[in-house]
Amino acid sequence: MASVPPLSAILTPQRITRRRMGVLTFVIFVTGLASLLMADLLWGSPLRAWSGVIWGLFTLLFGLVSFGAAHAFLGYLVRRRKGGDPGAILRTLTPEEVATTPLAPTAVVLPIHNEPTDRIFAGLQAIYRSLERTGQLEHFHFFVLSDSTDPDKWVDEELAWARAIAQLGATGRLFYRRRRANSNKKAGNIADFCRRWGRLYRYMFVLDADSIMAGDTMVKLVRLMERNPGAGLIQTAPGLIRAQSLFARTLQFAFRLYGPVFQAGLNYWQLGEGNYWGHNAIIRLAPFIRHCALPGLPGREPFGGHILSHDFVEAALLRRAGWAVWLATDLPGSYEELPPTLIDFARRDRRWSQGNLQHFWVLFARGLHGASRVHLFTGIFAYCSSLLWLASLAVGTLLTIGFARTGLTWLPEPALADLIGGSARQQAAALTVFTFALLFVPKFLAVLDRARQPGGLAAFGGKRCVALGILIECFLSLLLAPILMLFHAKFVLATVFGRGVRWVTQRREGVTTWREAAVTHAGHTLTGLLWFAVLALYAPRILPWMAPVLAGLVLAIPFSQLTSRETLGARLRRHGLLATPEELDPPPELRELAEMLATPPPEAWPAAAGGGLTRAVLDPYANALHGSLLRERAHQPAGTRRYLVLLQEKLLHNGPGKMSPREKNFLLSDSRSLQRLHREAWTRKPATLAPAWRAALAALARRNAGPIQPGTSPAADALASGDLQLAPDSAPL
Amino acid sequence: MTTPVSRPPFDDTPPKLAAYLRLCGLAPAPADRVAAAVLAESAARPPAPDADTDEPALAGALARLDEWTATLTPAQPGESAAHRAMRGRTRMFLTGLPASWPDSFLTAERPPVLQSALDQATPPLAPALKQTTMSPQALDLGPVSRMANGTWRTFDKWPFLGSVAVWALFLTLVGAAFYLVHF
Repeated sequence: MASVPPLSAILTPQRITRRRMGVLTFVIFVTGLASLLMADLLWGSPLRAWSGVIWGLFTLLFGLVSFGAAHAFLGYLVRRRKGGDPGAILRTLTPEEVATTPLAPTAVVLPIHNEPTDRIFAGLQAIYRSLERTGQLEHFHFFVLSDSTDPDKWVDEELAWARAIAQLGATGRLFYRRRRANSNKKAGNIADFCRRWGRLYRYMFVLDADSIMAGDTMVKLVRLMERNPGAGLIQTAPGLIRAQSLFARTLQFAFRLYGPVFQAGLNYWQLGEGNYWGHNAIIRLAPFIRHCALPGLPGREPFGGHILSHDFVEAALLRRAGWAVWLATDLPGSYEELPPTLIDFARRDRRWSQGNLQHFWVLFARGLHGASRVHLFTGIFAYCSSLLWLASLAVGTLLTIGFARTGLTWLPEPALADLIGGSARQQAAALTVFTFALLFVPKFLAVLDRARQPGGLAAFGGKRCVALGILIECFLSLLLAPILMLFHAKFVLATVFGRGVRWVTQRREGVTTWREAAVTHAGHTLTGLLWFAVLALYAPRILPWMAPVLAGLVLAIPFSQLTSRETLGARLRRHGLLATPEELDPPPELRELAEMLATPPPEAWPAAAGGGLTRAVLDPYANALHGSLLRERAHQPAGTRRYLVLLQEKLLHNGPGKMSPREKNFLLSDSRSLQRLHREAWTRKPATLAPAWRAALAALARRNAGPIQPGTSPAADALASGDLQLAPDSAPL
Repeated sequence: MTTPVSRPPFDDTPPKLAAYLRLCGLAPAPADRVAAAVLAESAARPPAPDADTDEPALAGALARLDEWTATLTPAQPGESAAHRAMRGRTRMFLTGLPASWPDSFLTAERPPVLQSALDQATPPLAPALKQTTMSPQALDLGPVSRMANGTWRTFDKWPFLGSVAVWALFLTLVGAAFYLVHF
């Protein structure tokens, strides 16, 4: 089979522009038509100024909706085209080239920040084994880049790393690095890797703590980079996995079912000027190092300072330097998880909204490509649109009340509909239908497209399950939308008024309590009730139209609590509802991950004795491993030594619970302190130690009364089974 | 099948040391035996002049262990004996010495296979550094007018202008329809 011509030969500037103009034409035609109908309906309003505001907001928001719909329409068409989209990066690799293109040295980097250690390393092991099965493992090195500030996590991560090396036989292939100072957050963490080891590798996969990628997919991505030397970054479209709660399973189902046509539509116009989503992507290191070190923004946070949402800007900088940024649609084997509850979802949005609003500065930066500006703008508008929607509903409510109180009618006579023998009322109904069509036809097209794919709807549990799943998803989305509207509006206003967010770890499990829901959503509920009361009093006829918005707000507390329940998610799953292909027939990586999380390896250290710092002090293994990974300080000022001894005594007398994370980290950074603490904790009479130490020692005594379990030394087990292959010694850094 | 061994809690030094040795990876019986032997040896030693501990025998036993683990790894320049002992203890765990070679525990005798395993037992934290610089990119956040440069690089001029003409025609038609109805 002949080699496929490079994309630059297929995608001439003229063709690229035609594609983009096609999207804009769709948006302008659809929005223009809706805007005309709306303007006509508002024409009769005696309150011209307010009507103008409503019309402007309607046009803006309708433009946004039609832009989304354009993705679905064009995505559907391009996916139905024989041979698929000629502008897809995947088409540059023929089946022969898939097997023969040599690979290049590649780093797989996993920046982490206080996430659950078990999940991180189980995921990493699943990825490692998957790559091993491809027979191409020799080209890959793995780096866990820890920015964890929780001292217990630090110790746990080191132990998990050593265990993973033993279990995988990954000495010299799986590395761990923790930064003491988390300067510039995640972007700084990756930049630190690039400065130290970036020159050793040609490519870098950036993963998130909850990412999973199949080995085949990673190998294919490296080959795609080799085949396309102008590509600086290829982003995959990660599917959502491991959702348990009703909330998460609904989003997972929707994303999996509707996502492919939207992604195809996105690739249709962006082509080699795509975006970077921060993880599950492969990056060409040399240009990344040269062009993507982020500058600071003018002023202070939240608007200025360090760039929070670094990914968009890095993609724009790569593009500015002439490197292509691609989205690999239709490439399976890339996954991520999502927040389990509405409140966690909103927390993540809080961070993202601030990061995206910061992009306002970059939006007008000199030299960026137009497509990069579109990405930055849509990112900003994704959150600002909620504020506009809220404003439009509020102004609409005031107008309606005004009409109701004056007895005037807003319907124009004659209306445009008269031209075709209709009435203004019919015109209003048509506009409503048009709006709903724009919201729901893309979903219909996505289902139609899915039905024509291999496996069809059976991959989602069959037609009945898909139909019911869509009904559930639409119902829950209807209630969710107004809540998110208020959340986002608040986030935008908070950022504008200078209230920033801290860098917090995304929670990946847990149920929202009724109290937590009540505290978080009290404002939403009160807003909904107040709105309802005002309309009921002054304009009851509009209540049915506002019912979906008001219902979402009034029911926010039970909605948030009930949808956070894993039991509800599990019940629907038992009935085959909201199922995804990855749930029904998990690929090997996800099966392996589930098995590892379900059956953690046996540990000699009893969990009841405590983890983290407690273990680093008492457990001879954890103490030795952690201490030997530290650089011994040859000269320590006398004042520092005295302070460390003070902290050691505080830890022994008061226990870890009475120490601040900063104090714990200070102790954990000093190998001499660890040596002394280990000796003192074992050789002092338990009665002289804090209750926490006595409890830990009692747990060890109880365990000592039982049979010893395998796994006292994970490496011993691995050595005995022949899994552990030891590499030449290398001094710790 | 291993039979559970009943032991009293830590109200005495031997079970405490045995528990420690079991955490090191020794099986229950060798742990008891080694604990008794080390404590006896420790009791025979004169106490260190700076010994300030509740359990001098246990402290002596741990010191004895540290002396031995230090021999499991070569010394590094400027390194303290305690740090070396810590690294040696790491090697002991990573090779599984207590479980796989219990007879070599606390002795200087090491079969070649054990010595070879010890020599290779420290996992490298990271590959050798190959440092480079990554300087922040200058970003001119200038006025909106400067956008034009980048915009014209993205769009091919004629299809763009053609589309603008079609949009203008469409919007003119829309405006005309509106005008005809209302004026």
